[in-house]
Amino acid sequence: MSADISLIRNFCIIAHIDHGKSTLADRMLELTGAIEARDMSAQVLDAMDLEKERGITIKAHPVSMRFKSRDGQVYQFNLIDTPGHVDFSYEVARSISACEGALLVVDATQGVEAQTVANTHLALDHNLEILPVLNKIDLPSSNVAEVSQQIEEILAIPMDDAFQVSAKTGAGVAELLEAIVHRVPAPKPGRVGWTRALVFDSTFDVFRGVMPYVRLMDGDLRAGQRIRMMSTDEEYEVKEVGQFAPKPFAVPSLGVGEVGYFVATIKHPKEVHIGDTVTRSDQLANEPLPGFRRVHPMVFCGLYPVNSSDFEKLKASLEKYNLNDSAIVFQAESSSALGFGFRCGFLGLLHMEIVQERLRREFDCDIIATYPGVVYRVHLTSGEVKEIDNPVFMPDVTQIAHIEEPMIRAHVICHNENIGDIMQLVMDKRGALEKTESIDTRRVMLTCHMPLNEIVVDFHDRLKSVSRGYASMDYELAEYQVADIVKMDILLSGEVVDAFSCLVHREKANARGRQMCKSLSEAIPRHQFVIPVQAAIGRNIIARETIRAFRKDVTAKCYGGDISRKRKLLERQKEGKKRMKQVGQVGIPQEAFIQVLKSDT
Amino acid sequence: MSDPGADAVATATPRTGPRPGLYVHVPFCLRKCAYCDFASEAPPHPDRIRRYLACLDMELGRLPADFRPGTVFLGGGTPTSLNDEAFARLMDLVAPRAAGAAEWSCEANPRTVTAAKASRMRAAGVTRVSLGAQSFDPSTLSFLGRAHGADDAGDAVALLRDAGLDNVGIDLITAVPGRDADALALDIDRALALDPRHISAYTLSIEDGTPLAALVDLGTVKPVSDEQALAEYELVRSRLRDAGFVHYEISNFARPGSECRHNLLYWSGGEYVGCGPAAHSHRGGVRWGNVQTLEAWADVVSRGWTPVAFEERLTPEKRARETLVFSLRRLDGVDAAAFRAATGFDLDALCGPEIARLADQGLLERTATGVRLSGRALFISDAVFAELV
Repeated sequence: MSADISLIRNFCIIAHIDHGKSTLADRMLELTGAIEARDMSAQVLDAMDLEKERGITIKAHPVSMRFKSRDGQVYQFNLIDTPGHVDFSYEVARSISACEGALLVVDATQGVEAQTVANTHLALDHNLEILPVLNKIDLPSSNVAEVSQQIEEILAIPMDDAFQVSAKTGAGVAELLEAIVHRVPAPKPGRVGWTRALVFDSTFDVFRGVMPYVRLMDGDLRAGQRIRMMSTDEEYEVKEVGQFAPKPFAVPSLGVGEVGYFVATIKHPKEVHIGDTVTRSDQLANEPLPGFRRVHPMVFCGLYPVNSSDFEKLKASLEKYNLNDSAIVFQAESSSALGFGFRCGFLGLLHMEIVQERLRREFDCDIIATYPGVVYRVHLTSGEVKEIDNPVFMPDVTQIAHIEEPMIRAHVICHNENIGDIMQLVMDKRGALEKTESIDTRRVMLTCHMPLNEIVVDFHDRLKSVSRGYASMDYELAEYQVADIVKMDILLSGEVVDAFSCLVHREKANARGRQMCKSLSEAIPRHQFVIPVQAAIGRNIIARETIRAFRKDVTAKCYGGDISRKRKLLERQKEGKKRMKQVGQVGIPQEAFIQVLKSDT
Repeated sequence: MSDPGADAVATATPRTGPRPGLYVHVPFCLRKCAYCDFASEAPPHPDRIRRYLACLDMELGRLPADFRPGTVFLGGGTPTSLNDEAFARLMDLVAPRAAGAAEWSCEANPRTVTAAKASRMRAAGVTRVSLGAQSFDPSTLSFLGRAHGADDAGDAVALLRDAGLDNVGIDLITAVPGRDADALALDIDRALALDPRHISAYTLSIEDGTPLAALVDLGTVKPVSDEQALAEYELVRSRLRDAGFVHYEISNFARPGSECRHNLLYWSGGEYVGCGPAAHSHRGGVRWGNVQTLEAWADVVSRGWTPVAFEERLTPEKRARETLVFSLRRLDGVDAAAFRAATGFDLDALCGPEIARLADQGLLERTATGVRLSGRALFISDAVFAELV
């Protein structure tokens, strides 16, 4: 039996990292009896180690709770967790569109952060009812009045009916649950005769295949039905429908307004697209739910095994990883410097970092990542437009009419005294300041328009460094814009090393070239000959360093006829050389590839 | 404990080529130099010397009766750091083994040479004395921690000549921090003034665990730059060539015909047996090394065992490669025919591509009969050897 639609409340929580989203969710589960206090491991929703460690939610599932209100009715609460980072903003948007309300959680000791701003705007765009919640009020350093004022001024949300809670102690949480009943609207009744369910997330289980998470907008879903994915027109048979409480449990059906999962005969996560509409083969909808688009990777880099013989292992690891994160794309490629590896695409910087970290940690892969880049639109003189994410495939300059690069709109929140340094940093990165807003007497929010390419390597680190860790940043993708992008090559002894090639803005090329030459000249050991390290645009050398030849590598004396020891030393010297990547006559140690990534100034 | 040494010595049939060598290690010095990581004790204690000589007697006594070395080398340590009486005993132990050897070298340090030791060497049959002068500059000697002064080397040479030992070699050290090129030139001049037949010029190397390494780590001593070390090496080469010396091995120079034959054995893959702590041997396709410390060596030898700490038997290819790289230390290089005869490998079949590449880089030179290091490769020879080993 599907639930009475007037007794369903679907909501999500919007919060900055560490502002207490997961703790609040845990407390709600406990108070509604979905989970016993003694069964709680802190923060049930964040399943993966990496998430717990970083305090961010990468992927979480929806949880259903039964809440008995003071009005005597038992309500079905569906808490839809949202990924906490901008790289997953499309997933956040899909999750938000599965809800009618949002809890805006702000740490009363910290105030509004950049990420909160971006996600609140998303929730307002989707007409969600927003309940402001000030958390951590038990801490002496909390400042309810000031943070309330920030929320009103920055987010334009009235704070008259704000909630003050301590997710840690549970204070105020029961009142908040009661308010959800009254302030979050019930789902709207669906269209009769159609079934449409919004896929807002999915997970993969080796035994059951793909489990999409859905919100029913119209109609119902139950085992035995034939369904169709509207973006692919693929049909499947539903084996089971269910909800999470927080462990999955099967239910007879999911009705309109409800949130849950289904299991069908879907083999690979690539068959399921976030934002897609599920409809029934016998009740086909005429049009899908709004907002669907395929997500495309925005940041690319090469991933290579440190040891060339580990290529198969890396391949197997990427394939396995891909089952739980269908957002990454990868394609085998080869580099003359690094051998065989993969060109990988990521949703954004954090996504790239997380994938690399998980490959290293969970899959025990020793990998080298090449210089990351973005997707450029290259307009050829022939009128054709090519999307280029790898410098190796950049067409010859003579064929290029112009190049466009992706831009972002970044929101940076920082202390007043850091404005100067941060504006300088933004300008260094070819950005422009669009807007400055005061948050309170101490902090401002800067809105900047910047090229994505400029923030892929070290923007975040430098932002943290100039603000001594206080500034927070979030961004959304903006439009493509014409830019004077050139391909810069690095030459060792006159030979181009493809792994070091990168696409840069002409104005930045000299500085980047100098920096790369310098760090390579420090990372590559001396050889018995002089090695010129050059940066070039086409045939034009723009920077040069020289690795001097070593002058002394000699054993003066072999003492007492101890030939064995000396021979072993020579053999070790030979082995050390073998471990380097040989490009022509030059041996490049692994560290050089890492040093180059750190080289941006 | 296995006994490869005795086995190899006993059963190996002599190979074609020179007769094997005998090395005797004397692990005592007046004092330890700042840069030294060799096996030696300082100063020598009479009880330890007695124990050493007793055990050396046993070890030498176990050499096969028909072991007749072509060359003998007494090294250390400082053999002459023993007092007159103990030194005489050492000569008595080695002399029967040295009978018939074409060359018998003995290392000596200035201030430890006495008239009695000199005449005893002469009487026992020592044919050449290698004197560790290292420098004639008082501040350099004191920096190196040497146990002698600037004029002691000259006095030692006079004593040796008085005893009839004309064939004297002198060791010099280059690349000493704090000594400039002029001081080195002066050192070379003073060495030449003593009319030696042989000069070894070793570049100072900073070995882990030595007092010098500690000073470098602390920043008190700044090692000589590679460029300066190379310049000093070139200075030695040109001065000694001008003085009529033949540069025959990376660090060794000699009047024509006065090359140290024993050392040439080491470089050419030849056979030798070492006695005494930390001595190394190569015979019958086996390389082995004696235990390092005097106590351990004496203990094992006195029980009638063989004091072998490690041994290795190389595959024919490894052996051939080893012979190649150590032979290349000789400036006249490797003779392809002799190499094939000694190792069974054709030079080009073994490492033709590497040789070709190194020749392209100007590091190796083809000769009429084989291959040799180029002049500019001498001081970076390990980089060349690492390609071939």
